[in-house]
Amino acid sequence: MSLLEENEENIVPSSSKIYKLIVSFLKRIYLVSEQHNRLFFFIVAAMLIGSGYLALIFAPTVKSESFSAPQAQRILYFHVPSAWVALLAFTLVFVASMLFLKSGQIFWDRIAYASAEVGVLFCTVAILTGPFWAKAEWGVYWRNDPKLTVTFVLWLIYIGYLIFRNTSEEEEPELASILSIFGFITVPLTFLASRVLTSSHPNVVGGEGSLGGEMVFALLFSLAAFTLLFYYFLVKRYTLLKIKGEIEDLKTSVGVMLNE
Amino acid sequence: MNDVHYLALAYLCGLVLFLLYLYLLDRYQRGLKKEVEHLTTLLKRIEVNQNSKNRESVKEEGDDV
Repeated sequence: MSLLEENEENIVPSSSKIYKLIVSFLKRIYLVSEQHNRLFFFIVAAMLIGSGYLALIFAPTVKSESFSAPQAQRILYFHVPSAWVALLAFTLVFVASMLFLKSGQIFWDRIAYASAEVGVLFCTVAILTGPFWAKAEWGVYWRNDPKLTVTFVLWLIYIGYLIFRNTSEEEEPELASILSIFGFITVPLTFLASRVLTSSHPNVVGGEGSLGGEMVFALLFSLAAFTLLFYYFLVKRYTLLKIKGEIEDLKTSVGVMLNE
Repeated sequence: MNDVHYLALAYLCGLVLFLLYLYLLDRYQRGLKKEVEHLTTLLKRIEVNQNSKNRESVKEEGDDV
């Protein structure tokens, strides 16, 4: 049984037609990706290989007058999609947590948990790849920059969320949801930090330095590939949380049978 | 190190992290599946034991009557 199928009746509020449409659309996408899991994996892998080719070979090198390390600028095609997916994942955590608090359905809590974990992974990748560019371009791995600091705080908040989820003896999903809703404040801050405050971090979206057509294509392709990878990880992680829930149910059944 | 080295290191780091996560997910999945199998078998055994006990007790009651 699929993840949306089993919860469909419970998670769909009677009032919203748009909501029903969105859930039904998501259900179809999920069903296709679940039924053709292996094929989906190969599509994601092929897209990632394609994005690697576009980033390292197809996209032209930036002009050396603009950057002191023009080749290292290609890190952009790995760093930006990772950061984008991290923000997307944390936004999903926020939305799922809100829906969980509203409906009380475990489905949304699992989505929030899975999304937070995958988001932390992508945020870690963004935080790790950025300093390599910084070292090549600025000469230092890290600067006391608002964007870098806020991103680091964002990463710590969601690490804290995951630690809380893993260590609390009694599962407290409501408290975790509230924590993730407050933690979401840092998501728009991360996006705005380099736009509102004085920051040396370059802006790809709405920034001064413009990318050429081939560069934009390579970047957009990488964004699509990384978003698909995120979805693949999310489905996989959700399935594991569902199996874990089934194990808890089985343990309860065994306990009841032994007591009888 | 020049900028190509930093580029290679960045891609390598990202790739290793993704592959490691994928490996850990697969390993975790295998562990969970084994646990499900174990618990299902246990549950079936308990059910079989209880059924045979019930049958024995019914038989004993029948003998007493």
